[in-house]
Amino acid sequence: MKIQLTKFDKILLGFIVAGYLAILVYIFATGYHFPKLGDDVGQRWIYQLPFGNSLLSRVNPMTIFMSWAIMIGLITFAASIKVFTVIPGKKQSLIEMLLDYLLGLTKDAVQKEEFVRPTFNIAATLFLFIFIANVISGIPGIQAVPRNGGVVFTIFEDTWYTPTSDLNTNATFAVMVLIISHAFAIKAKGFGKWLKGFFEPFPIMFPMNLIGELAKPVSHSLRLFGNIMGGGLLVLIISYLTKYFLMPTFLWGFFGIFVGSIQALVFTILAIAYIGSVIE
Amino acid sequence: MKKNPLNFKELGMLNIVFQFGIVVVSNVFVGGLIGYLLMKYAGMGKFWLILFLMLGIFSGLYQGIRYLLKEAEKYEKTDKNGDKGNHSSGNSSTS
Repeated sequence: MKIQLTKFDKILLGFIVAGYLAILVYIFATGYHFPKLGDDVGQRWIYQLPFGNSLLSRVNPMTIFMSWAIMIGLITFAASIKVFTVIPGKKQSLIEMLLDYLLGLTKDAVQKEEFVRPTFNIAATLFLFIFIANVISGIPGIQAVPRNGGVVFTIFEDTWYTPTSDLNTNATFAVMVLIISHAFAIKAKGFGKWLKGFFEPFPIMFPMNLIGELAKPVSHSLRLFGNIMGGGLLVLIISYLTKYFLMPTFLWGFFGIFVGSIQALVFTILAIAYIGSVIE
Repeated sequence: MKKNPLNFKELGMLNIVFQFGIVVVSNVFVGGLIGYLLMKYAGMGKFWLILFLMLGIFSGLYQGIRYLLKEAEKYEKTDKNGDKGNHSSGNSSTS
């Protein structure tokens, strides 16, 4: 399969790469020291950008690395399926089965024919990314751990760092779904009708409808974050009881692979349901 | 026809209860957050915090019950086509 980028995609990707390069140049120019961290549970490696102390001036480097690693892995996998044939090979039938199931879900939830395809694209993208991100949290790999008052990289001592255990990733996805759903609603119903939807069934219900809409991304993102992050913390805490002998394998399997794949599916189904319910 | 031991639909039914709780709690949270932000940054009195918290609670119950009604309607619909629909639903998911 060939990857095709429009001009807009290229410009956007160029901006992102330029931003990363600027940060890298800044780090090399000023010299980087790993931050001093305590040995508490749940500490993270956080990099402070030179923009003061505002909300957008802190970066979680492991999240960025792992997100890009997963994206590149997915793109390589997609590119490795050479041609889609009538009699599918192993990879093709895996992908077809998975995406077919998602397409069925989308067709059930989204009533308007012309919005099935865009909703499916969003849902499938979210599902593939979150599924891979959750499943690698059940497989031993590279992890950045605060130790000896700094950050240490470990291999096969802990599971892979997963971007979905960072609320920034999940909140981004949830807010994205909220904005996309309302953009679709305005496109489908027209601005006036969309605005009128907030005043149903009575005009006095407006604040409640507004709070209900704003609560969607909160519950949407916190559910995934809580499941993955809480799973990781529980593995750490329960493992103290058995001194890292047998328990982590089972717990990683349970929280990483079982809970992770269910939560990836739930996140996707909810995204489809939110988009579908607003469009109607 | 032999029944499938792992039925995802039934797992989905369990999820409804969980989802109801989450909807209520998140609405209360957002209402309280709006009230708190108004109080802290817009310099409005504590009255607004209480008002928005109450609004959040009402909104949570309203949205939660609406969600439950919608789910009930959905399952009623699938039950109606359900008797002969085991085949048709199977077909639609594989086709």
